[in-house]
Amino acid sequence: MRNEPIVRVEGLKKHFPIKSGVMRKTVGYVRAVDGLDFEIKEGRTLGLVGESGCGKSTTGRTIIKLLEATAGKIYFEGQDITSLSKKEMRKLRTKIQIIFQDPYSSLNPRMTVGEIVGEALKEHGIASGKELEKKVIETIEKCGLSSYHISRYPHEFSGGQRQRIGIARALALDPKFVVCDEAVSALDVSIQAQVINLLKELQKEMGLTYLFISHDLSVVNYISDEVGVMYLGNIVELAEKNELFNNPKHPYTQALLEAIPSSNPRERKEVVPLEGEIPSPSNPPSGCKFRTRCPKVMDICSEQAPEFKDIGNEHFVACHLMDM
Amino acid sequence: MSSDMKTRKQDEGNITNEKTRIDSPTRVAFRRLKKSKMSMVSLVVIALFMLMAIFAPFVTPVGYNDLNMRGNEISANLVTFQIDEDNFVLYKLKDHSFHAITEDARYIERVDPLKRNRKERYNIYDFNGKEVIMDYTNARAVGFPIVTIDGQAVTMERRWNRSNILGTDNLGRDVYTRIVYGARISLSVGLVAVAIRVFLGILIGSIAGYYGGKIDNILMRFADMVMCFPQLLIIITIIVIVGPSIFNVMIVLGILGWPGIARIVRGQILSLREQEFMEAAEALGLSDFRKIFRHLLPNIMASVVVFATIGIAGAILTEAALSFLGLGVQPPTPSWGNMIQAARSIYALQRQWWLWVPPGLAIFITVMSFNILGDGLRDALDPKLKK
Amino acid sequence: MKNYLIRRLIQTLPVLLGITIIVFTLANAAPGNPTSNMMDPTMTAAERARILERFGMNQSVTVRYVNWLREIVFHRNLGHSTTFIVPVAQVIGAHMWNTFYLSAVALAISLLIGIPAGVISATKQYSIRDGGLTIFSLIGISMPSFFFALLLIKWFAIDRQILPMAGMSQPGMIDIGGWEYIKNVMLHTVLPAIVLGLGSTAGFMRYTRSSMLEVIRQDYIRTARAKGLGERIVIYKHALRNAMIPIITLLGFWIPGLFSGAFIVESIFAWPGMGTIGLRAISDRDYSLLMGVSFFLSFLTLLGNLTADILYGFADPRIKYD
Repeated sequence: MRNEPIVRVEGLKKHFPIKSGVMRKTVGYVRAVDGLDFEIKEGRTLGLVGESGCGKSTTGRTIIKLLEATAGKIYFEGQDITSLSKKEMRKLRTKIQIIFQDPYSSLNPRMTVGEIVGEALKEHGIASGKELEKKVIETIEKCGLSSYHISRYPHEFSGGQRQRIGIARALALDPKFVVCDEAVSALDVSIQAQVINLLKELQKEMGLTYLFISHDLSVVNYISDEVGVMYLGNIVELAEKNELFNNPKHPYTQALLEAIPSSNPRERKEVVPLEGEIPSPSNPPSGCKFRTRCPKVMDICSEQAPEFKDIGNEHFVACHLMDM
Repeated sequence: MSSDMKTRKQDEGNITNEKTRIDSPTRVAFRRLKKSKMSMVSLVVIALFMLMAIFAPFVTPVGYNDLNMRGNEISANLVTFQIDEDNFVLYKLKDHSFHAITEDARYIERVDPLKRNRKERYNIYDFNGKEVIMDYTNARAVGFPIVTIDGQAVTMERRWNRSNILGTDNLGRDVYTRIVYGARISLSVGLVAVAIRVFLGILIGSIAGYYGGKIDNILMRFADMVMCFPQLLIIITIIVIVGPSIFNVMIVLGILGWPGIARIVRGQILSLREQEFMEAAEALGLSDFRKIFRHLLPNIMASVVVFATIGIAGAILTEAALSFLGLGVQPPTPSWGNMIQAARSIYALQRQWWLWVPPGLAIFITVMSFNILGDGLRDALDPKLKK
Repeated sequence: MKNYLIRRLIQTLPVLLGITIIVFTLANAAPGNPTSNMMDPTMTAAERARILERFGMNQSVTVRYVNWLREIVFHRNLGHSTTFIVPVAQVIGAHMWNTFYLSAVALAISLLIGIPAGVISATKQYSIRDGGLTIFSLIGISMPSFFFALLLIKWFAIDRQILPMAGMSQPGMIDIGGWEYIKNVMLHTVLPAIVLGLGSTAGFMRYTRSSMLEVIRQDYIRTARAKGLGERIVIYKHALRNAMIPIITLLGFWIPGLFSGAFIVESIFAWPGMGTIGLRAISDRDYSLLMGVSFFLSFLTLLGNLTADILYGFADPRIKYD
């Protein structure tokens, strides 16, 4: 396995304009993604966690160019894909895929499973006729469905099965990089386990690279190799999984980890909840965006935004405490 | 792989074996539609009318233009008198005339009197030597004359007209036949006009919804303009320009009706665009063409079908109104609307119900059936209702 | 809110302009000219030309359009009617109140009967009352208005002479004036208003019903009931208010329908309103009158839509704070 990054992101930004007034003029921006730098190596899984509204879903969509980045660069297999036209991007799409969150709205209710999974293969001219059917059946069986499912319609399946269809659809093209946008969040807990295991197996089998977006830390813990924590459009901490969970440096990461309920009823933790509300992403605090809720805030935090840097062992943190 | 096979099979789902039938969304919709009895009845009624229209020559006793001036304006419910064993007559109020009929009330021909006395208001007839006197002094008040044969009074019998079950019109044409052929007009106008509307509406609505922005704005302003006009005024003006005919009516109704469907299509597309399966289509690298025709359109057809069905009802009503005003289908071609023109005379309105009530009822029943069907379809296709 | 209003007003202008173009094109595309119906065969071509010139018909289309538009905007002059030989504005002025009056009565009937009926239908869903009302509303939208008018005339005006057959008042009554005249007009209004109102009543009933059904299903209604509020308050204060929002928007679009219906009704009942005038203008090729009537009706519809949107802006709090 090579260890060059298959995906690299530099200074990625995605701002949404806010329009108001008679002429619908732009009066501000929602800074959903406000400067991200990270890379994912081939065959690894980067987990991206954060609370609702921190910008992780937007990140996923921007990386695969479902949304146009406002600034920054995206590299895939070394190639700068940031400014590629739709047409050029289309050819690359066979290598980059996405699995969605909602199993109920992510499948076209009027297409059969076979059509859903095989459509892209047909469109890109990769296979047709008998060949196509074979490939489709192969893919859905890999995902835990049966061959006779191909003539069924999505509404006949349960949530977990639908998610498998969505996975099959993404993997039919034999991609190298897959974004999993809250892929298990809408499922029952018992089903979650099955689907996550499926994803892990497929990764090994097909040599996939994942960007796994979730708000659930325990799930992220299980599936990721590296984990990044997002807050209000920025990554505040990024490290190898065990390093992050055992040795969190950023106050936000620490608060999140403390808040995970323990399955051991005897273990009683002293949980100090974070104070305050999440600020608006269109009007974030100056300097460090977390400063309004940080229990360890200092004066410098309101003046200067902290640098996102490696404090050793490929453990990145954006916090002024690291400079102490 | 093996350990997970077990857990995979525990995953719930509705499909456990190969043998169950494929449940496409269309079949699901039909199942739900069948639950509404009124909708099923309407479907049957519409089917009957359509069959009637298609097979018109086979279900009618005569042609729709076969004239019979001597046997005109014969009612559907007859006032009859039995003269003797072989001679029966019906009485026509309007001109106080006798018409020979068979024993089972089939029309034979008009009988001319031997003598007329208009001042004293009676006619004298000769049947096989018998002297039959028809005294119509009070006829208009009670509805029938006093008939005496050689001095003996004859009782009046009411029978239903067997030759023309809905009577004849002012030119002696069979009303029932004209209603059957009228179905052809109404149904074809309804279907063609709405087909044009649907085509234009989908075209414009999907362009507006898919591309958004300025194009959307312009197209929707244009739609507003067309919708702002009192429809009938424009339609009448245009018909006056291009001339009244069934084709012009079809085309005008079609061209003026697209904004309704366009708005619905556009609205649906705007909401569908945000659904994740559309994002998936983009992520899969599908072409615009495929996205519109394979993903968007099939999912909007439900609303379009409902709106179109109700549109057919409206189109039939408008065609009838236009024909009634003389601006649609022209006589002698029978249209339910232009048949009702007969009611413009007070005498016909009051005394000759068979000329204008049947066509009116025909319109009413057909339109109501389409409306009920449309309602039923809307309920069957509504994604919010549980199965 | 203010921004919303201003934006709506600005959006109205191009539509208005478009309407004038369409109206002008249609009216002048009709074959024939005001002299077509002047049957005097001894009229020479020169005489015809002179008459046409007097009506300004000899100029080019664009010139005529610009002139017409200018007259309307700056001088409030809609032209001269060739049929009535008086200014178009006067013709319209004399007849528009008759149509408004009839339409208003019909609209009032529809709202007063239709909306409560829809509420009852929705709250007592699946009951016999609901079934009956639903059937009634289906009948209402399926019945051809002219047929219904004929039926009513036959039953009430001819078979039993309870109500008058046609016209807005008996000839001569208008000179007597006073209370007798008003009573007479009201008698004459009954049948046409019922016919005109039937479709609208049924329509409102259906929309209110479906709108209410949707609202009643919502969770906040369940909460209101759980709070122990009386059913009446729940329905009328909470549910109806929200259900009315789509209905208000509908009102704006109902107006063209009302005017269209008025055409047929006025024609059958010989009601001296704009429908009758419009039909006259079409058959007499009276361009000015035709354009005046078309423009006026469309303008009213536009106003109706605008009002509906404004009302909607007040009713829906999401827009209030835009």
